[in-house]
Amino acid sequence: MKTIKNTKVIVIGSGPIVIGQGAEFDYSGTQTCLALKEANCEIILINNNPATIMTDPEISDKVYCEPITYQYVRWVIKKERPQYLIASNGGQKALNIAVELHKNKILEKYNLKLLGTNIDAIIASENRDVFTQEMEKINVSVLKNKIANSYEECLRLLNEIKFPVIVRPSYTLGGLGGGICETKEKYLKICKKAISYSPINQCLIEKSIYGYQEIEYEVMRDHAGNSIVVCNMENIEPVGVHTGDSCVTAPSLTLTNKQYQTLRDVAIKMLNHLKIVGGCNVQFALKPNTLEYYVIEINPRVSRSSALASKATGYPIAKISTLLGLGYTLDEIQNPVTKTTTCAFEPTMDYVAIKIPQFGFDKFKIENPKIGSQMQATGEAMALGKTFNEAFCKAIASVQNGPIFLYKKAYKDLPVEKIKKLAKKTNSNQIYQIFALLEKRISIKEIHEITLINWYYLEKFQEINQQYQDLKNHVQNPKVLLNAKKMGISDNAIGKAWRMSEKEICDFRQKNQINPIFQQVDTCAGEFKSRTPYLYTTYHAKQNESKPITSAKQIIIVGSGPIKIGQGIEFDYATSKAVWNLKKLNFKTIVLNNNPETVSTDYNFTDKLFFEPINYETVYEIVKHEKPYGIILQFGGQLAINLSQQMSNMFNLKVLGTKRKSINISEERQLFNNTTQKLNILTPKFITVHDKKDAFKNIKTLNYPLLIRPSYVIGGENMEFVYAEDQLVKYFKKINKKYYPIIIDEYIDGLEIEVDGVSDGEHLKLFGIMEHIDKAGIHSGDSTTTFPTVNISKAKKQFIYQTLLKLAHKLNIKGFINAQFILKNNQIYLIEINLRASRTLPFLYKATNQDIMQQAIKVIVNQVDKNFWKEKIIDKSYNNYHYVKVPIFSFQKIRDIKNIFLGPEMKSTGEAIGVDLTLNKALYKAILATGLDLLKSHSIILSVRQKDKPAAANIFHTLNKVDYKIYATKGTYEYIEKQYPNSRNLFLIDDYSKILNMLHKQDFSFIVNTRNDFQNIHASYSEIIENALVNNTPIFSSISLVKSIATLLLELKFLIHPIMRPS
Amino acid sequence: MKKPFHILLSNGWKDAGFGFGDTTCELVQGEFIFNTSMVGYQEVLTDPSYNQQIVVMTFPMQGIYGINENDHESHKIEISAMIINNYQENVKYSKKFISLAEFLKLHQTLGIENIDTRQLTKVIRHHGSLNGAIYDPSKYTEKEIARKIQEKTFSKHVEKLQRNTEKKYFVEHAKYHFALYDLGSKQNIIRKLNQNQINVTLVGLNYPCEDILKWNNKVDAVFLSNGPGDPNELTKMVSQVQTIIKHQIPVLGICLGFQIIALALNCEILKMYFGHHGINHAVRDMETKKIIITSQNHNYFVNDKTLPSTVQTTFYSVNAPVLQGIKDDDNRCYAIQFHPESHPGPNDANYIFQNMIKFVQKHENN
Repeated sequence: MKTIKNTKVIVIGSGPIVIGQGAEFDYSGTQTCLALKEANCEIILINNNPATIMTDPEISDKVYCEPITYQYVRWVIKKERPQYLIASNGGQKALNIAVELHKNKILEKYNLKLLGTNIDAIIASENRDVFTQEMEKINVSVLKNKIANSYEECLRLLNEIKFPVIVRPSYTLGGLGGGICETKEKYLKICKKAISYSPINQCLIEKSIYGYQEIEYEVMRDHAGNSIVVCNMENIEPVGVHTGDSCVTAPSLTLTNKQYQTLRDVAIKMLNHLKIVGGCNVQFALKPNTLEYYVIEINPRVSRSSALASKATGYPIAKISTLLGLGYTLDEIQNPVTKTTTCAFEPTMDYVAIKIPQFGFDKFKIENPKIGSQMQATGEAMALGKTFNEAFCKAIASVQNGPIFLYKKAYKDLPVEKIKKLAKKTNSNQIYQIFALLEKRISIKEIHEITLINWYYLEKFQEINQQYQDLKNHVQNPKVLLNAKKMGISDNAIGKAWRMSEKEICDFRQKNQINPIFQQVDTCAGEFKSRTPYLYTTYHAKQNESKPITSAKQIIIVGSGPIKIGQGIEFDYATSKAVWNLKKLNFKTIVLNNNPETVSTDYNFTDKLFFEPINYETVYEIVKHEKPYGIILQFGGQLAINLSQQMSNMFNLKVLGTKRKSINISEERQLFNNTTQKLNILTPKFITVHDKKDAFKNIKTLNYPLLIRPSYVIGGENMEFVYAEDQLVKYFKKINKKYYPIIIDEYIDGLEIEVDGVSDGEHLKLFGIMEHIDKAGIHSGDSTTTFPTVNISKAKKQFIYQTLLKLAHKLNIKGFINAQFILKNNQIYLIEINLRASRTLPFLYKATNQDIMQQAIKVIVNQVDKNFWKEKIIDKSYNNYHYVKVPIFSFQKIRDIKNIFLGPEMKSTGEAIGVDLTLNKALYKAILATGLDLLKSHSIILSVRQKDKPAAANIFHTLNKVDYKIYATKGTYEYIEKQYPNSRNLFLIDDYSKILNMLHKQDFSFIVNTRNDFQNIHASYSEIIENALVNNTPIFSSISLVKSIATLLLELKFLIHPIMRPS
Repeated sequence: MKKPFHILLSNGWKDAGFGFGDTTCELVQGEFIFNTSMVGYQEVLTDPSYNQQIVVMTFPMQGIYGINENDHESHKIEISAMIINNYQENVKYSKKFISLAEFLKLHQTLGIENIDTRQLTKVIRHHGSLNGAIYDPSKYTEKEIARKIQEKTFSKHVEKLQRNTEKKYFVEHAKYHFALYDLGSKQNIIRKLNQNQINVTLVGLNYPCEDILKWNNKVDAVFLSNGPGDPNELTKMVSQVQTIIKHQIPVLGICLGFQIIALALNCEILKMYFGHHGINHAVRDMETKKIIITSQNHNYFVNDKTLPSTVQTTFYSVNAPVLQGIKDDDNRCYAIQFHPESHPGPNDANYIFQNMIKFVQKHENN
């Protein structure tokens, strides 16, 4: 086979970030595009996620920010006529589109060839029946369902099954009535129950793999049939927990050579049989201490696991995968690490990598959330160490929102039996429950029986626990400190045990000369010379392997760590862009980050990469060793910004950009208010109250509606809108004392405006002024945003510019400024400013087609010329098109009715961009990107709170014109009915089963729900909401957005209307 | 209390760590080599090819899954000592296992941990495999050890193994009978031959090949196993092979066996800088053009420029110009440098046993 070069290739991206489809596809997609570039290909990319690096013009030749659907991909193909298609880098979505293109003979029609794995293999990997058949052909064990439609059939199946088995009744919620059976007696008993519980009297019987280990292999195969294993991985939790929600080690630690090789052989056999070309992930369930295994699944594409394996080993799977797709064989590709050998080898590690999931449940206020086969983590952090303990504790220090170390306060006073009960169910806090049990001296044997986690890991947890107790008993003992550091325990956690600050521990360490050693990741355990600038720290080595760069000024860029809601891929975009642009300005760059899914942790992108927890300790040790010139914290989001407080006087390190003092002012409400008052900037009125009495005394100075929130609680907990006094009374009745002081804002129900810009303390340039379609009150990250604006005059924009210029002077802003304003009754109020890279920058880059990141970096390092400041506001969109950014939620993944209501706290996981000639068309496309085709059906459900009823009537009036059927709940129905009596298209929701039925058939386009008084609503209504989530029917809680949608439909929807005989 | 031990190499490199396993040893000398396998320490420890060698494991944690009854490659520990970064005592959740430290103790072998194994690996990579010692610093001074290292040479590895001879491994429905010169054979070579319906009779290094030819139970091929040390020392074995070749009996070999066969065919054998010791080595099958990942453990290689014209090269390393397999139809030899029997390592090359049988078959029919 000749290798493919100099051709046109279309790449399908993965679109917006949702839980289960995250930043890893940007990392792999970017690698793919770079590999294609090396092969001199023209890259046509379709991806509508503006926050990705792969959509940056530096990576692809042409980027179509269009909805990733079969239809749009087909249109792009028709327009561009590429010769090849790559679908293995866009997650399952891209593979599905490839299959659809194949089935509809589009590939054939345009003579388009699929690169990499063939269509049949893709189909076999997705279709369970085909997969089972294929695996049986080659004697690979797969779990198979047996179906019994009666108790007699269950009896008959006795001859075919091997205990233990799991019996599941069909169509019952949560598997009620099923169970694991080890014996014939139990089997018959449970079958009887299961058959009777199932509404169709059916049960599924499957081999139980309860307690098996979950092992994954990342395999590469070329067209000539050569295969290598990049890495295998072991989940610490037994099967049953999605690998994305598990703690994972690479390589596997508890497998013997025989076990390892048995699974390796099977994986390669599968790839050979399916003729896979490129990277592929195979997941196994392995019975502990045996060679008995079952294949769980195969993913013939790059995945989250392949991103992890790439970062764990240094072997760039996505890039090599693409080259294999282009027709190279493994031995024809140079090993990017050694540069002297080829990619035909298996990486070997002299460290262990551990990945820990980052959950976002705190945003949704769910207690001990159950985890299972549906992935729920929003992101992950990885850490490297010489021992399990070291890597594990470092990984724990890298995830966020958890306790400082492994002990959760909540379990301290909980009875042991209660904790055992909690730990028995797989839940996102299980690790903390295990540590609580260890602290309470429960034996490993018992914990093993409760959790089924491998003995080895529990033993290690015990060691960590003992070390931590030891720390507590030996305050300021250097010997114990050294042991703790060898175990990977962070200065922060040690500080907690010793009641000292992180900085104090770090100083204590320096005094006692306890410092980590930098080690290199090289894919070959030191066997070959390599120059990878990929480093980590350990306390188990003696020779430092990082040579400080002296040839040019070095700048550290602090990344954003694991992805969580509110801290998304956009910060990885910002970090990566910063690295490139600093390089162009002849700086050397050092990146500090710990998220294996990201582009910024690709060691090829930077001069040096430190894969470490992001904290003071790490930065200190890097700075001490590398002696960089400066550090930039503005690109990593809030996490990095928080570090700035501690960066003063660290080896003459320059903190580039806005000073900490100014950042403080921007973040602290009272300080900020003082500043704006001095500058005569209008802000919403607010008061701070210290108790209930205080509140009612001072509330008179404000006008309703109000926004109430505790001043120090992050994440929007106890944040509420209050429209009248009785609501206020209720709020203060239930609020706990610990939440005081409480801030009460006047809530201005106006048009929200968002601005991004850059300043050098003297000049200011706005990169764009955006308008939110949603009214103020919804978090800007959850708002639908448009550029250019529609309702804001030139004069108002000038006013906004002048307001921010005043602030820029006053706060000496050097670098980014993001601000939000509200426009109401011709008045412009400033609500907040953020002095860091924002979520909207990548969107603006696409909408203006100006490299604003590059410009901002030049400002930060003081290298712009005067001309740069001439244009004060970039106000024109690229091609004069309309650009809309819509949020994407993962509500189906985290199912809880209380959470669907949008408010001041961010809940979306990603975003999509829509581009077209008119705002309505752009909005339609952007919403299409979320999976909702607004033009497809004709029915909606409407249920709104009192204040939204006029708007609801208005929406009805509009939609009625295009023949929409509106199903409304009682109050809403009555209000509309009064306004528009006897309407043919208005229906009262009274027969709930009919509605549920329609939901299952996906008859509803969407649901409008603006009620958040969930405790009062009808049980059947909450069932509707829950079923809507299950059936992927979108729920809108922003009435202003729905108004825009109604206008859109009025314009885009076609009528089917007969001409009647004149009467 | 952990007992301190020191390491000194002939080039002066030193490090200090703590002993585990049999810590009553006061001094262990040997040739330092490193192994990059992430699994399979049990197989490495019991592989006779490592005789008189001190093995540095590059994967930092060793001992996690203990030692089990089924994965031995010989009846005892063959390496002189084991150097690791971090010993992981395994939990005793089952009677089928003993810990790595217990196993070392049982076989009077020293382990040493807390060593910067990456640095040591790089030293070996840079200087080639080195002689050195692990010693108890309370018993010896560094100077004494330095002298001992100078004085010590390592030779006659195979003789020193003292393997059992004339042991029979017979299976039901066997198709062939091989005589296996046990130069330090890994158990899995015998298992693999048995699995392929071959009866195996083991003979020792000095067993006269003429006697084999007289056996009642006729042999279909003579097999030379893997083993430790310098093949150039084994001149008698080489001439024995030449005799067997003259008798037109197929000769097969693995690793050391491969090198002896090459010598018998008058090839040159050279020492490698630091050898291949790991389970991730890519090799190309010159007939099928396919690449396989193999387990390798050798310090010597066959100079392919000295091959006679009768020899066909069958395997080559992908990432280095190292000959990995030969076939000689005229002289009826088929031999492989790497370890198709794996253990530890991938099973990719298992098919070579079938190749060998086909080779024997072909020559049986002629």
